[in-house]
Formats: sequence, structure tokens, C-alpha cells
Amino acid sequence: MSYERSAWKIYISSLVGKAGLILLILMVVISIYVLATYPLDYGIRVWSNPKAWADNPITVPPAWADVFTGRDLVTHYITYTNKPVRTVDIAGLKFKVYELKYTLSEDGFPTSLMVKFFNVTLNTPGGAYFIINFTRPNGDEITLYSFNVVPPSGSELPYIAFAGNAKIIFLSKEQSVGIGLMGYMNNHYHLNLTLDEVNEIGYNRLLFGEPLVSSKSVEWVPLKGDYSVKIYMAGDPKDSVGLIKAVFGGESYGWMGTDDNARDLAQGLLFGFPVALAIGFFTSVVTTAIGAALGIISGYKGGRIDEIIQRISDIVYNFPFLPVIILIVFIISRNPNFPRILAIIGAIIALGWPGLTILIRSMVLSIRESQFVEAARAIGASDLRIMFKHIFPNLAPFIFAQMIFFTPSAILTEAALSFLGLGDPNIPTWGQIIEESFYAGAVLNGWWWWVLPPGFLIMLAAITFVFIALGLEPIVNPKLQER
Amino acid sequence: MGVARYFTVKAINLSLVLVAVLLLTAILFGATGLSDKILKAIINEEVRAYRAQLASQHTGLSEEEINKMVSNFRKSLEVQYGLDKPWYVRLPEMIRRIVTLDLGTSKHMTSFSGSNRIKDIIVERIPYTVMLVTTAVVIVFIIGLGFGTWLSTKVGSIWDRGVSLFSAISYATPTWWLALLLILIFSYYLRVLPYGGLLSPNPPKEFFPRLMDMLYHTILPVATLVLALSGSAIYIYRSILVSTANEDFVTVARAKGLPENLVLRRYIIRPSLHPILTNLVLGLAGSLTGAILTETVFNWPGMGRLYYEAILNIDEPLILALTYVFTLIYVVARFILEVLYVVVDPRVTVE
Repeated sequence: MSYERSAWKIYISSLVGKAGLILLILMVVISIYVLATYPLDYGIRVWSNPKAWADNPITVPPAWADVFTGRDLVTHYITYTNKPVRTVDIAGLKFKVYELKYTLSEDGFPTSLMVKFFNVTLNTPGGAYFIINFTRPNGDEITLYSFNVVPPSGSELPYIAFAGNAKIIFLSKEQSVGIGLMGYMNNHYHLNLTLDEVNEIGYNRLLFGEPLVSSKSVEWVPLKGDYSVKIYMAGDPKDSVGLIKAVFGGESYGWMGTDDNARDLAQGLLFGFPVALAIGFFTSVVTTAIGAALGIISGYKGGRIDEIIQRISDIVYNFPFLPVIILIVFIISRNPNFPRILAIIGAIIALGWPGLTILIRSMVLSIRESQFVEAARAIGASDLRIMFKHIFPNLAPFIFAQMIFFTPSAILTEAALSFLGLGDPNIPTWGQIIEESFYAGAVLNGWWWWVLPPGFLIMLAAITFVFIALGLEPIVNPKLQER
Repeated sequence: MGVARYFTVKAINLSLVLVAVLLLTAILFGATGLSDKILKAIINEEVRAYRAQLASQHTGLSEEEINKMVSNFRKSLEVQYGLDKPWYVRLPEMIRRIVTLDLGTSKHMTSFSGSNRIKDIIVERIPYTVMLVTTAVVIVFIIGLGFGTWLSTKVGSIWDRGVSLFSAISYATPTWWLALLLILIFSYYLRVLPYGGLLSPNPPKEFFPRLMDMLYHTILPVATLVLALSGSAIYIYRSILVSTANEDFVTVARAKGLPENLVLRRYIIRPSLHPILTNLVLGLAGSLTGAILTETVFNWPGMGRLYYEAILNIDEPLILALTYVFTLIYVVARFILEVLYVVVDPRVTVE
């Protein structure tokens, strides 16, 4: 049996080795998926761009959080249309009717209602007139809001309004909606409410609920059923709307919930996989290469070179790791043009190599005296050739294991720096997500979905490599096997 | 090697670390122009004081005369501080400033007593960090030795494997995240422990209740550090004890019929203390690192939290000073452990 095959057998027979390998494959698969589907400048273009998240609810838990709350959380719902369902005549005006349907099936109130208009094409200087109505499950229709769109005087027709920026109407905040609801509650439920009372209850409860009136108080309960937002548009027959969007704000969102910028945390967490792997892999490969090369040179060459390398590695090895790394990254990051991620990786490498150099040097000292090295020297092999062809192969398995073992500390250090606010602002990482949550007071508010998953993933990434390193140990260190 | 020589060598080695960090920081600050910035800030401060003094003492002077005197004063200060020379010429002076913490004032932060001098801000925070780290390290040492000894008698058992898994997990867990997790559990959900800080918003005035209040606030930060550090401590101490237990002199002691308790204490633990202490020395950097992050999470008024605030406020002199003080504390603590080394290892004194 060859060395490779027996080594593989030993590795795969260990439980932690197997677990580590499975976790690694999983992380690599996720990373490949992310790299294939996300733009490379995701951090700048999407993650840090508020426009990309404008339709999302703010700091809501994931959809599966209802396991803990004991009731179904209202799901976030976005719907849109660009085709009128019919045209109607009202008071001699022809209205195009757009309809956006919604079904409330959970035992709760949608947190908000927002309608957005994009690209309204106007063909006459008079523009168009819009009315927004709201239909409740019992068929009652309430007028909530109306507005005019007129092309600026002198502009060329047809004119397209709301082309760059959508017209956004927060129906759950507009006062005219409150007044409309006040009237409706009076007519339908014989409930006299002042505008202040309506504001206090919250428009979303009035829109999506009904009052349970007892002798002393009024309690609002969600009204399940089919709702719709109807938009009536009057204007030139050729006038049209590019897109109308309705957002029914949910109490939960997606797989991982959202943060205080309404960002989909699932996306940020997924993007963290390739980033963590890349940082861990790149940092550990370079650190190990430098550490091992210096160790071999120092041990083999001896003399003055050995003395210098030993002194320097001894000093750097005894640096207090985090304070010095904070200082280096902080100073380099004063230059905003320098990619912060490279500063972080560079600093970890600069402080990480001496441990391996010291270890390798002591191992080379004994290999140097072995017969095969002496033989190679006798037939006139160069120093470089001896170090590369004769000494290095003997240490390769050990060096490889050390590389794996260094990976988690690289991942953890990057995360710690990100948590202290020194992360690369252009590349979202798990550490940064936790930093943002900490800064926003997530623990004080109990926003667990924002704090726990990223930390759990950091842990998972680190433990993957710890497990692999543990699985490699009996191969690299055969003494352990005998025990 | 005599004790004196041993200490001298250790002291020189550790001082080299301190000097190297100082040199590194001074060069980094000099080459990036940050040292100029710090000096200019100090000069601006002095010039402002001078102008105010002129205006109040010599009311007869015209605006123009005052401006001229102030600009002359500024020029002389610039020469005095060496701003007319390149940064590498000023390196020794810069190092002297770092060592004496003579780094001017902080823009945004003040000490508890209200001073904004860098020195005042840092010096009063040192005890809190030292207190936190020392408490945690001592507890970890006790737990590690206790559980490690117990585990070393159960090699290969399910407990042994469980602890080795626990140690791998605790190595992979970010300390600061563990802190957040504990706050969520004990402060937000169970509401039994405070979110952070050193004292309650309206702390009691009397000594004893005040101390209890402080201890109450110390529980979670210390627990975080202990949880984060004890996993690997238990595992490493266990391995050290197991390898000592395999030594021939232990077998001989057992063969002599010495009671097991005595064998454990005198023949296994005592000789193991030396490598365990080595491990403690190496683990010290880890404890300090953990403390920086834990303090940040718990708003603990030590130097670690100060780091976080200095980074948020982009306060260069403060970060510089903090790195130096952390290195100093680290070096001093290492030296104290080296002294302990001699106490537990008689071999150093012989010869």
C-alpha cells in the first residue's frame, strides 16, 4: 500500500476528520454557488446600496421564527402589475383600473403598506389623475389617496414621469389615509375615532383589522381574507404606467430576517462563505510558505543567517498579537485608497509566520545531520536543491497540517478585526454583520437573528479546519497512533 | 545558570520585544505622516493657550502685533518639536513621547475625571483591564488544573473525548460572539445579569454594597473569558499530566506503594507545573486578546473598550498609546510568570 493511500485511510477513519471534510465540501459548494450567482462587487453595488433594499421590512426575524412566537408571523409580500384589469366610467371620466391582490392568512397585522409608481407615460399637458382605493375582505372599498401627475411646462410629449426615482406612497403613514379610515370606521362599525386615536392605533391595524368592541375598550383583531389595492388612472387613453408595486410589510422575512437597513441577512451570510474561505486559505498559504521557508533556511544554513532569523522570529513571536495587529491595520486604513482587506491579510501574515519558523528550524536541525542530506552534499548538490528536494519533502506533511491549523486563526482574527470596526467596508463579512448588529444595539433589543447566525457561521468555518487538522494529526505525528 | 543571569537574559529578551513594538509603531506613524499630525495638534494646543494669554495680559496690543507674536511663537515651537526635520530624524524623540505617554490630548474622549490628556485617559483604565484578565486567568488555571488532573485519570473515556471536542469548539468560538450570546441569554431573556458596564446607573455609595454591585457586573465578562479559555486549558493540562504520569519515576513511586494521592500531588502535578506554566505564559497573549474584545462587548471601562472607542473616533494618538501600554502590560506579566517559573522549577537555581 502506498504512503498516500494509507494516509488517506488513517485520515478517513477518524470521525473528526470525516466531519471536517464534509463541512469543507459544504462550504466550498456554497462558495461556488455564491461566486456564480453574485456580482463580484456585491458589497458596493448591492449590500451597501440602500436602494437595493427599499422594499424590505426593517429588523424582522426570519420566517421560521414563528416556532418561537407561537403564532404565524405575517409574511412579507410584494406584488406588482403593469396591465389594467378593466376600464370604468365615473362621472364622464374614463378610468383605467390596476389591481394588486393580497391575502392575509396569518394571525397578525401587516406592519405597513406602501405603493410605488414607476415610469408613468403622459401624452397630454394636462397629465393624469390617480386614485388609490383599498378593498377589504367584505368587499367594502375605501378611498385612501389621490394625486395628480402633470408634465413640467415646456417638456416634450410624451413625457415619462417617475423614470429615475419611483413615486413612493407610504399608505400606512399618509394622513389622508387616516382620515379615510376614520370615516370608514364610523360608517361601517359605528366607531367614532378622532384622528389622534387613529394615529395611535396605527393605520396598519385599521387597514387590516376590525374592532372588537366591549363595554370598556376597543380591541383590534386581524381580519383574515382577500384584500386588494385598486389604482384608478384617468388621463389620455394612451397614458400608461410602467410598473405599480405594492409592498405589504411583513413581521418576518426570508430565511434569515433583515437588519436595520432592511437588508436580507441571508444574502450577506451567504456572501460571507467565499470571503471567509478566501481569507483563511490565502492567509494560511502565504504565512505557512514564509514561515516554512525561513525555518528551513535558518536551520539548514546556520551561522549568521540563522542568528538573524532566530532573533527576529523570536521577537515577533512574542508580540501581543491583537494590539499590534489593530495598530497596523488601523494605520494602513488611514489611506482610504488602500484595500482594507489586503491590510488585514498582510498584517495577519506579518505577525503569523514566526511560530512555524521556530518549529521547522528545530526539525531541520536534526534532518540536516541525516545520511541522505550528507550523501546529497557529497555528490555536490547545491544548497537550494538540498533544501527543496531533500529536506522539504520530509517536512511537507507536517507543514501542510500546520497550514490547515493556521486557517481558523486567520478566519477568527479577520472576524475580530471586523467586529472592532476595522473590516473592509466594501466586502461584507460575518464579523462585520455582527459589528453592525452590536452597534445598532441588537442584543439590547433581542434581535437574535442578526447576532447569532453570523457568529455561528464563523464558528463553523473555524471548526471545519480544526477538525481537519485533528484528523491529520495521527498521519503527521505517528507517535499519537500508538497511544 | 544562576538565577540572576537567568532573569537578566529573560528581561533582555522581553525588553527587546517592547523596543521592537515601539520601533515598529514609531516608524509606522512617522512614515505615514501621522506623527506630524500628532505634533501639529500638540503645537496648536499650545499656540491657542499662548494667544489667549497674550490677549488677556497685554490689552494694549493691536490685532496685527498679536498675530505676529503668535506666528513667531508657532515657528519656534515647530523648531522645538522638530517638525522642520524629516520624521526619521525625530524617531528617538517620538519613542520618548510614546514611552512617557506624552502624546497630547484626545479629540473626543475624556477620562472619568474629565481630563482629555491621553495619559490620564489610559492610566486610570489600566487597573480595570488587569483586574479582568487576572481574575479570568486565575480561574482558568484552577479549572484547567482541576479538570485536567481528573481527566488525566480517565484517558480514552467518553469524558475524555467529550472534553477534547469541547476544547476544539471553544477554540473555534469567537470570544466576543460568545459574550453577545451570553448577554442575550442572561440579560435579555432571563434578565438576571446586567448588560454591561462596571456599576449600576445609580451605584450605592457605601463600600461593601458598591463592591457587590461591581462583582455583579463582573460575572458575565469573567464567565465569557473563562468559558472561552478553559476548554483548551483543560485539554492541554490533561495532556501534560498524562505524559508525566507515563514517566518511570511515577511507576517507581507507585511500586514503592506510596498512596495514590501523594503520587498524584508530588510525582505527577509538581513536575508538570513547569510545562503548565509555560503554557500559561503562551496563553497570556490569548487572554489579553480575549479581554480587548470582551471589554468592548460588555462596555467594561478598561483599555479594550477604549480601543473600540478610539477606532470608532479615529483617534490616532490614543491607539498608539494603547498599543504601547498593552505591550508593556504583556511584557511585565510575562516577566512575573518567568519569576514564578523559578519558584516551581528548582532546576533553574541549581547548577
